[in-house]
Amino acid sequence: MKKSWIVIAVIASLLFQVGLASALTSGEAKQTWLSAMQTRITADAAYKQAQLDYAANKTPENDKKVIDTAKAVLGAALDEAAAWLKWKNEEAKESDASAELKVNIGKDVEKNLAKIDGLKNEVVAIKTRGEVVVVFLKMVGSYVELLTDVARNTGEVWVYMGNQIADKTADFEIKLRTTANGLVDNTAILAKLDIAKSEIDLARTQINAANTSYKLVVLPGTPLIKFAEGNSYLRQAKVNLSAATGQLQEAFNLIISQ
Amino acid sequence: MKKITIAGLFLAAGLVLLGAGCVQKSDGNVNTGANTNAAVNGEAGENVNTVQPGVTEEELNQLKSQINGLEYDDLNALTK
Repeated sequence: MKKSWIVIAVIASLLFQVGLASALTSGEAKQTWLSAMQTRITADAAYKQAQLDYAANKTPENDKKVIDTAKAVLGAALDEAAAWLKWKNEEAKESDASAELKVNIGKDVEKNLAKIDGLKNEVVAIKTRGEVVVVFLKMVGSYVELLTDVARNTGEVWVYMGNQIADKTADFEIKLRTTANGLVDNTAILAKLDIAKSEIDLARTQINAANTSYKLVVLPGTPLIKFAEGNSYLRQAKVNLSAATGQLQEAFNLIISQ
Repeated sequence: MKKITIAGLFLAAGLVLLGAGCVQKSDGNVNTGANTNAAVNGEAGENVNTVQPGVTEEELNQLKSQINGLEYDDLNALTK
């Protein structure tokens, strides 16, 4: 009886350690994506060089080099996509997004990682230059499909987070305004708070525009362009919110100096 | 006998916890004798003339670093 408890304890401890080892933070997942991207860029350069070598000298060795480097670049592109999907999954898990959204992203990521495994097998099976072309064309179509759903849901997470931060900034602005209204010399403070409020309103407009763009991250369509468009709106919202907090800080300094 | 001892221990623990609760509650009601303005400002014994803005500097800094941490990476690189 005692022995069985010891065995259970050891197994539990091992499982716990495995769990810890496999737990990935979104920061680590992003680093993995960045290094996968670098690998793909290097592989792409090698492939282009192999093509140049083959064009200059059509030997069987150079032909093989083109096939090998093409396989490497296709495999690296798939690794990069897989790393991006995993990163987005971790990012969603760590966010305050709704449980439903997190589950949806998790399911999409799993589904697309399975598709990536299938495509990888096709890449490994390539033997001729003709097959390189066929698999490449197939990948171009699949690639966007792999990323569209997760990109759309990621946009939704970012919009949610953006709105939360805008709400918090607006809340701070109201609190500082309430205090300022009770002060005799408040003209300069209120002027700064007015600017902050207008920046928050602008940020909200940008976040809403981003939300509209992310909803258009669908197929058929131009999902990656719409995704970039949404990102661009959120980057502007970030600028507006930064400007707002700058004004809040100045208002804060004026209040405490009274 | 054993049962009585256990019950006694529970009773003693309960009394200790009850006592701790009372002490804590009474702490909140202690008037530190600080200036009335300080009490109104919610900061006993500190600088009387300081206005409380309603937001702390730490909260502002947290918000700023939250905003700075926002990143939106495009997927263009993947399809190049």
